[in-house]
Amino acid sequence: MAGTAVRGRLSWQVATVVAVTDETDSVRTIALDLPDWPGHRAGQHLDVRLTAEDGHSAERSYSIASADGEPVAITVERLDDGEVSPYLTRELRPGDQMEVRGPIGNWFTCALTTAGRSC
Amino acid sequence: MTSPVSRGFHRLSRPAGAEAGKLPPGQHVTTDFPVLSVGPTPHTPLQEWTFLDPPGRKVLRSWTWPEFQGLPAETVTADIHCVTRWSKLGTVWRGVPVRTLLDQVDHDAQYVLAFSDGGYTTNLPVKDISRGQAWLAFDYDGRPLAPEHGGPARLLVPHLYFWKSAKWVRGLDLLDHDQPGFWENYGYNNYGDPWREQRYAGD
Repeated sequence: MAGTAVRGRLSWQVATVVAVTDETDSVRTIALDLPDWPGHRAGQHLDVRLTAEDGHSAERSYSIASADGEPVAITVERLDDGEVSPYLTRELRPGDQMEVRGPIGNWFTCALTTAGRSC
Repeated sequence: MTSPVSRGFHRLSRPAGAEAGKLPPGQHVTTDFPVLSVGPTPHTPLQEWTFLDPPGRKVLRSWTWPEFQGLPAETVTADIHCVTRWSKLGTVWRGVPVRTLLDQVDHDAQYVLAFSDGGYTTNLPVKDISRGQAWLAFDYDGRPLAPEHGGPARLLVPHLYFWKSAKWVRGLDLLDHDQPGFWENYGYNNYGDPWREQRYAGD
């Protein structure tokens, strides 16, 4: 496994929220529709970029919380003094858009071998 | 591509450090000191520690710990920026300029591959470490550098993302060509300038 697993530049794309599921009072799973997604492996993450009306933007990285083949999802815990997680866990609703790029990370992943899956 | 507005998303407040232009894009300030490592923390006894000892190559110069400690050190105050998006402002280190080490070696290398206990490597252009912008640091915040932060000695290259500041560094392989290190082989940017947000290959 070498760096060739990352194919050129990671481009931002516009994701649409398809579902939000509150897992607990402070944790929410957000399922996304992405126009161009090559699939991913357990352990990879993605970057999220939010842009406010005044042009201010914020980027965060989240682990991918869905299996490959399912809609891409992230599970976010709210940190009350944060800028992004309160928005994602309270304000966000289906139909909203954000920018996403990924999948990212070729090291902290599960390996699929002839002996089975190992982490 | 113009970024679409995320409905209902607002700036929380201007983050500390942004006012003074100290925070690169996509970063946020932390006041603690996160520890991110791929493997276990090595504990090399100082009597066994040497620097600049490339395995399998001709050793041009090496320093024992007492020899290294005898070199002139500087106190450095620097902002550090991790690719995982935390930045820590005003960190205080003590270290020997890498230039001081390179000046004692007859070489015409253009690149180095820093190597560490545990097998970690990261690559740097010589011009980025030979002009007073890089140190071999052994103190942090007035104390000997703790093993979890890379002690006994780590590279300190604060103008690049912090994965370039290799923990537990044991030497520099002097090269006439660029050779990607550990994270650079796993899709991270070859150079890693936080102000140009060079996080991943192609950024």
